[in-house]
Amino acid sequence: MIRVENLSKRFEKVQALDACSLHVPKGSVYGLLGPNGAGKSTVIRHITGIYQADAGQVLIDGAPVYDNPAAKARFAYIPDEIFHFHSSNLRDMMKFTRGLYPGFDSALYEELVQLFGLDPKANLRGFSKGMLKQAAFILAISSRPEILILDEPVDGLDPVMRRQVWSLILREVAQRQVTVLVSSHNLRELEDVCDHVGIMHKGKMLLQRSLSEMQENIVKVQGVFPEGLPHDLPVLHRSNVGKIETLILRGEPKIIEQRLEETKPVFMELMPLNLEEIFIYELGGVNYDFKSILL
Amino acid sequence: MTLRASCFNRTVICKNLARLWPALVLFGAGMLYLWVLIPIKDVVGEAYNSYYYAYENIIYQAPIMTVAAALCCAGYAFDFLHKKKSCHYFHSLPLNRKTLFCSAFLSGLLVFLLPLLFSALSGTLLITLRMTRVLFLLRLHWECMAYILCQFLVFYAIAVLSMVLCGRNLHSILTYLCLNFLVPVVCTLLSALVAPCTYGIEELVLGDGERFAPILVWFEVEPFTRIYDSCRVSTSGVWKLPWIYTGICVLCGGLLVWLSYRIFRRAMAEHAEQGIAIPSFHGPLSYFLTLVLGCALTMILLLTFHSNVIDISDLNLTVLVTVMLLCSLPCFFLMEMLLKRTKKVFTLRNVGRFGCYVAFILIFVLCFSTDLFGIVRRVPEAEKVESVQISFATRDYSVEDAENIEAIRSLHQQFIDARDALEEEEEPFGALFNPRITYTLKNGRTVERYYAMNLNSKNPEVKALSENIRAYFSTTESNLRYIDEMMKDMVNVELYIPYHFRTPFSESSKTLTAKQRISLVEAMKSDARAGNFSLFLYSPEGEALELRIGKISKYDDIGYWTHIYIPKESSTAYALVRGILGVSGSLE
Repeated sequence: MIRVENLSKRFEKVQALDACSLHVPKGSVYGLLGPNGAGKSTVIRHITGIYQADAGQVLIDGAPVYDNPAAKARFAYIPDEIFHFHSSNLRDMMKFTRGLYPGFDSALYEELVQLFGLDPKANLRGFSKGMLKQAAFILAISSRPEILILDEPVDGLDPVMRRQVWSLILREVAQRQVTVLVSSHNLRELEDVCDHVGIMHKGKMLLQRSLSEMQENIVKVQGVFPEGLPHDLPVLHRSNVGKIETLILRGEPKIIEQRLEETKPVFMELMPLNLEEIFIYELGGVNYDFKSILL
Repeated sequence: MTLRASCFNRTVICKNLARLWPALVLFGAGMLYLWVLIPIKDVVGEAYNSYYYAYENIIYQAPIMTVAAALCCAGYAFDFLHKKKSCHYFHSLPLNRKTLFCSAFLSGLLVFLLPLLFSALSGTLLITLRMTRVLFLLRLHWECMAYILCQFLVFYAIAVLSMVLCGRNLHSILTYLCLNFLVPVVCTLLSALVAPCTYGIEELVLGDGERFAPILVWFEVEPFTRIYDSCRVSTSGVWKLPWIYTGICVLCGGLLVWLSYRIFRRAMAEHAEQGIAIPSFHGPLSYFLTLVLGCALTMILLLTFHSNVIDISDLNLTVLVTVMLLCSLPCFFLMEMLLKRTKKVFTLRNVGRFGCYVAFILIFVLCFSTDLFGIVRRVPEAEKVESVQISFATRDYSVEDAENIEAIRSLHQQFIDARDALEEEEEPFGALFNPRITYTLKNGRTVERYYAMNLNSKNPEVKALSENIRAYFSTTESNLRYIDEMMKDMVNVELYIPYHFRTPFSESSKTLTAKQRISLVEAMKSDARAGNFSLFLYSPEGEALELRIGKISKYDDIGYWTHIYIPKESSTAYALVRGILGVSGSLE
C-alpha cells in the first residue's frame, strides 16, 4: 500500500533521512518506532506529501504522493501538533474538511461528536491538547480515508480516551480495511495494536518486520550455564544476578534453545520479549542510550 | 468542492476570504472614503477643481496605502507558510502546490479587489448622478482606479515573493520593506554617490531637478509613481490612459508571481525547518540587505547630524562614502546573524565577503566620480544629429537646420564648461531656470540634458552664458517661431493688469476679444520683425505683463500657459495693450 524506497532528506547540515525504506501492507497497522531525532516525523511528512525528497521515492499503490492530489485524497493525516484556523470551531473545520474530501461522511461526524462529547460550536482555541486530538480524529475518520497516518496520536489523551481512540481506529481497520501508519514512543500501546513494526535510528530504518516475526526472532533466556556460552551465539544483551544469567539473543527460539541445551545448563527458561524490550535491545546494539527513553 | 480543472480551490478561497474579513472591512471603509465620500463632497459642493486635485492627491498618496494593503493581504493569505503546524497542514491536504499557491494568491488579491471594485462602482454611480463633466470625471475615476490596482498588483507580488522567499515573518517583512521603502533610500544615496556624473542628466537624478533631496525622494520618487509619471503623457495638461504603465505593472507583477510560484513549488514546506526557501540565496540577500540597511543608517545619521538633509550636496564625497561603508559594516554582520541564525559570523570568510562589498561600492563611486564613461561631457556630433528640441522658460521648439543645431550645440558646450560656476550659483528659489536640450540622433536615439541656472547670477561666467542664451533667443526668427508656438490652438487670452493700474473694484485680468487677440498677435509679429520685441524670459527689473493663453484640451478643458511680457515702450504691441487696458501713461 505505502512503499518508501531509499528516501533521503537533508536540512542544511543535518542528514535527516539516509536511504530509508519501508513498506506498509494494505490493511495493516504499522508502528514506526524510534528515539527522538530518528526521522520518524520526517518520513511521515514525506509520505503525506509535505516534504519533497532529495532522493528516493514515496508511493501509494504505485503512485507518487508528492504534489499528487489523487494520492493525497486517499489518506488522512493527524500530526503531532494539531492545526486549526484562528477563532474557528469544530463545525468550521468540518466544513473546510468536507470541502476538500468528497467522501466526507457527515453522519459519522455527528456520531463521533456525540461519542467524544465535544461542543462543535466552541472555539477550538479553548480546547486542550487532548481535545484537539479528539477533534482531529473526528475529522480524519469522518473523511473516510483508505489510509490513516498518525504522528504520536494519543499523546495528550487520558487513558480512557486513549482506549476509545484506539478502539475507533481498530474498528475502521476491521470494518473498512483501513491501513494505519502510526509513529509513537509509547511502545506498550503499539504492542497492543500494531501488526507491523519499523524501528528507525539516525535517519535509517534499522529493521522492519511483522510483530509476530519480530517476537519470534528475538528471545530472552534466563538460566545458569556452568560451562559458559558458545562464542558465536548472537547475544544482544547479557547480565547476571549471582549465577543466574539473563540473555537477550537474536534468532529463532528453537535453534537458540537447542544450542544452549548443548552447554548443559543447570537451569534454563525461555521468556517472551515485549515490544519495549525489543526496541531497547535493538537500539542498544547500535550504541543508543536507550535509558533516556524508557517509558 | 475541488475544481480539478482549475488552478483554484473554492473551499480554500472561501475559507481565506471568511478568515480575512477584518482586512475586507478595513479596506472597504478606507476605499469608500476615497472613492465615494470624495465624489459626494464634489457633487454637493460642485467643486470641480477640488475633485480633480483630490485624484491627484490619491495618485501621489496611493503608494502608502497600497504598500500597507499589499503586505496585509499577502501576510494574511500566505501566513500559513511561516508556521510549522499550518504549513504542514496545508501541504498535506489533497491539493497540488499550484492550486494551493493560486488559491492563496487569489484570495489575498480579492481582499483588495472586492472593496476597490465596490467603491469604484459606487463612485461611478455618484459621478453619473452629477450630470456635468461626467465623461471627464469617469475617465479620471477609472484611470485612477486602474493605476491603484496596477500599483497594488506589483506591491502584492513583491509581498508574496517576500513571504514565499523567507521562512520567517521577520525576514519577510524586512525583505518587503527593503524592496519597497528602502530601495528609494538606496537610490537616493547612490544618486549622491554618483552626483559628479549626474550633472545635466535628469534620468540619473532623483526628484524634479533636486539632485539631493532624500526626504522628498522617499515620498515622491517611489518607483512606481515615477514609472507612472514617465508613462503618463501630458499634452496640454491632459492625461492619457497609462497603458504603458499598466503593461509594465502587469509584466513586473507577473514575473514576480511566476518567480514566487517557482520558489513555492520547490521548497515551501521545508521553510519551517530551514528559515529560507533557498539556502543558496543567503549570500545575495545578505548583500542586498546590507546595502539597504547601510544606506538607511547613513540617512539616519545625516538626518541627525547634518543640518540640511534636503541638500547634502555640500558633503564631501569621501566623507559620504566612508560613513556609508562604516554604517554597512555592522549591518552586514547583523544580516548574517539574522539569516543564518548564528552568532558565529565573525569569520575570515565573512570579512572577505564584506571586503568584496566595499570594493564594489568604491569601484562604483570611482567610475562615476571620474565620469569614466564621458556621459557628462558628451555633446553629440553635429553630423549625427537629426534635430534638437530646446526648452527654456516658456520657449519650447525644435530646430532641424545645421545652423541652429550648431548654435544649440555651442550653448550646450558652454553649459558644460560653466558647470562649476552654475552649481555654485544655483538657488532653489528665485530666478532659477532649467533649460533642457534634447537631441534626436539619426540612429533614432535621443540624448537629453537638463541644467539649472540662475539668470541673476553675478558670476561673470554664468552672466556671459545668460547673455548668450538671451542673444540666441532674441533673433527675429526665434521670436517669430516663439509667437507661432505660443498662439497655436489658442482659444483664450487673459491679460493680467499690473497692480498700479488696478482700482479696488477693477478686475485683476482682462480677457481679450477675438479681434483683440488677432491684433495682438499681429502686433507682436510686427514688433518681432522690426527687432522691437521682448516677450521673453523672467526679469526682475521693471513691471512685466502676464499673458495667460488658454488652449482647448481633449477633455473639453481649457489649459492655461502663462507668458511673461515685458513691453518696450516704442513697440506696436505696447500701444495695443495700453489701449486695451485703457491706460494713457506708461505701463511701468
